[in-house]
Amino acid sequence: MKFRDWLEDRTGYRKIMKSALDEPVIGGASWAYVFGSGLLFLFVLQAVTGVLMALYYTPSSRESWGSVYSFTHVVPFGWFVRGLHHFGSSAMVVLLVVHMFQALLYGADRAPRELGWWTGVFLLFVSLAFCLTGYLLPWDQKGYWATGVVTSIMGTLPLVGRWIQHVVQGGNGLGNLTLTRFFGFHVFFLPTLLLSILVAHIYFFRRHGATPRWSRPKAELEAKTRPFWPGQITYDLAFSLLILAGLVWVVIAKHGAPLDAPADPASNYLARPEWYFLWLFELLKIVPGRWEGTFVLVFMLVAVCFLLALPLVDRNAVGSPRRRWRHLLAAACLGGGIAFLTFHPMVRDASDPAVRVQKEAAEKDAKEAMTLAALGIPPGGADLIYMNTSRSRGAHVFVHECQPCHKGPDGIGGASAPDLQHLMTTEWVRGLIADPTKPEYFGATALAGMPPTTASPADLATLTSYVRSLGGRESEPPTGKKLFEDTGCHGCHALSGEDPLVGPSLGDYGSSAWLAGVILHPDAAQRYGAQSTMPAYAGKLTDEDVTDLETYLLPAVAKPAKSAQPAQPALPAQKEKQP
Amino acid sequence: MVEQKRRTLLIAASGAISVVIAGVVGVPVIRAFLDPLWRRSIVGTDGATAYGNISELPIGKPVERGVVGVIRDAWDRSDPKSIGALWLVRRDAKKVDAYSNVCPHAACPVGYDEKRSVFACPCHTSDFALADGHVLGGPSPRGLDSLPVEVKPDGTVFVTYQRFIAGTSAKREV
Repeated sequence: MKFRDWLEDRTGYRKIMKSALDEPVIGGASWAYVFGSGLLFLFVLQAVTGVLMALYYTPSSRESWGSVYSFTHVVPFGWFVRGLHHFGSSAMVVLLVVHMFQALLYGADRAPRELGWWTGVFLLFVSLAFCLTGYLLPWDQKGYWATGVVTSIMGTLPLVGRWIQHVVQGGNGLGNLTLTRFFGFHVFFLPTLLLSILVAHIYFFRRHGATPRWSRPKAELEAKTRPFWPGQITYDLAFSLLILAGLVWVVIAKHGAPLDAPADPASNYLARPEWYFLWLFELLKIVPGRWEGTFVLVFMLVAVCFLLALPLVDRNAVGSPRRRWRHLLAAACLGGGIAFLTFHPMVRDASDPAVRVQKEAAEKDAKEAMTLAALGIPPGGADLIYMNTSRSRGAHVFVHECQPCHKGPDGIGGASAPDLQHLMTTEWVRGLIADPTKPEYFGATALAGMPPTTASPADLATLTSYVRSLGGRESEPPTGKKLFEDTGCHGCHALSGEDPLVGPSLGDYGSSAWLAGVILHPDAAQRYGAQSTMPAYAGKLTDEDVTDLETYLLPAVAKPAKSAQPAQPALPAQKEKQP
Repeated sequence: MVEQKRRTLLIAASGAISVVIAGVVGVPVIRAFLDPLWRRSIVGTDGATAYGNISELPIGKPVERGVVGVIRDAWDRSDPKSIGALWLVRRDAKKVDAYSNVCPHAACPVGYDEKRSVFACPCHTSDFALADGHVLGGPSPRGLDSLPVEVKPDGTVFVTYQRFIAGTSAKREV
């Protein structure tokens, strides 16, 4: 005990501990009082997980995504810690609302506890500011686009809108300065602000104590009053454990927090805010664009004034909710309205096929981004990971140059030119020989002249094998060449070393040289000739572009290992951790 | 008595819950925090790189060559850039030795002193033999670090660049 005496002498800690732990809880420990402590627990959890994430994070438009990717997929438990932080913020919003409604129901906003209520209202808005500044930080598609919507709305405020938008963004668009600003606010300013208000909030709470249930008689309350420690603390801890268990369950079920593909200003990402701002997004649909900012500002001011005014209006001497039903109803309408506007778009989006397609596309992009990021984030920034492999570069070229007319390997694209989804597979070649006039082959193009075949199924199969063998995709069938001549194919299609005939020469059909020829000079005599309306890409695409397109379009047989290599010298991949 | 029992139970419960919460949050957080202990976060180009043809090298006279490589630093991958230097010494018609120019004492860049025909570190005056890189004098705990060399039949010299921990007598890769 000597050390404790020494410590007591130097610090006077016993008095502090006593005032902290022996605080009387009116009417004894109650589950009704656990919400504030639950929020305190969540705040500490956000702080602990947040500080750890800050150790692995860089706020920069080129680096942020990579740093978050690496924390989530490379650092052990990174996905778990980030998941706790992500879903912890949602839990905080939910619990804040529950805490406020509980306080209202018990009349804890009323005199003499107004200051506790008012500081609580500010804490709600500070928490929402945390959410707003937090989800931009990964600099992924969701954060980028959702934040873009918010800052654009700020820009519609009359007179000062542009200035406010510029100050918030740190410039004329979303970029490095937006990230550094949001990061600075999220990790320095807002925590300090929240902590300061929280201290005041707890002080006011301590000064007047918890508000017991209105129906409990005074004598009973006095008889049952107990110190904070150990009764109420145990309840609070048990509730915190319940929150944590729920969070762990969600984090594991969802494999941690989502991370979209790197922010790409050129994409058509479907921007949706996080769920706690959905109601605002829904509300804005009824407002003409130029008044959006004003509307949000006025709505927020009205909501804040309403919340702040509640204890001033509610002066009834009796605490029973029956006597205060008007105030409670007004608050319930506000809360219910917001809840409706939150759930309505969720349900609508869930049943909208267009939204689902966009969502699936985003998930696919995200998945591909994780694979490419394992090869390292290039110096140009995370959005250049698509340049990491020949295949992904090919996909990039395809989307910009070919997709308007051709369907590609993922089945997306125009229908005015042949569908390349299964290019050079047996089925594709057989279908082509069977009937080239079908819309998925040359039916929609200006090319004509080759009629559907009259060959028997067995002959068609042999012809297919023979044609595929010309580009080295399979071995030549023994009767192939004879059949090619007998069925009249050779009358229009020249073979290797022969002069071009009416139709495309098939000497190297389906090889990478053939594909390069078609891409660069589709109108050459040995390809599709003057009938072709496909633009010639010679001079537009580099040799590397063409190689990348081949990697993307042709089945792997034709292009062995070589083009599957990463663009940069091979490096030991960092150990990949998937949640 | 009942009150006292309840109190004891509550204290035990609060202690147990605190331990569970601290464990569920603490273990992942601490493991993630200490992760650098188990990871090489900065890695350079692996594998052999060509450093020209053996015929370009004079016999018995060291030639310094810059090492260009790609660095991976946590999530980043650099463009090819200068990451170090090495010494090539051609011994005869077919044999070439390669040494890292990083001094095994305190990681200073080791030069070649033509007058004395030794590798010399300017920082703490360690000298290394031209013949095999062993320590001739000075504080270096080991000789120059040799690097794996392969001379292809066509004479191309391939060297695998590596970095080693300085200040120890054992040669261990960083």
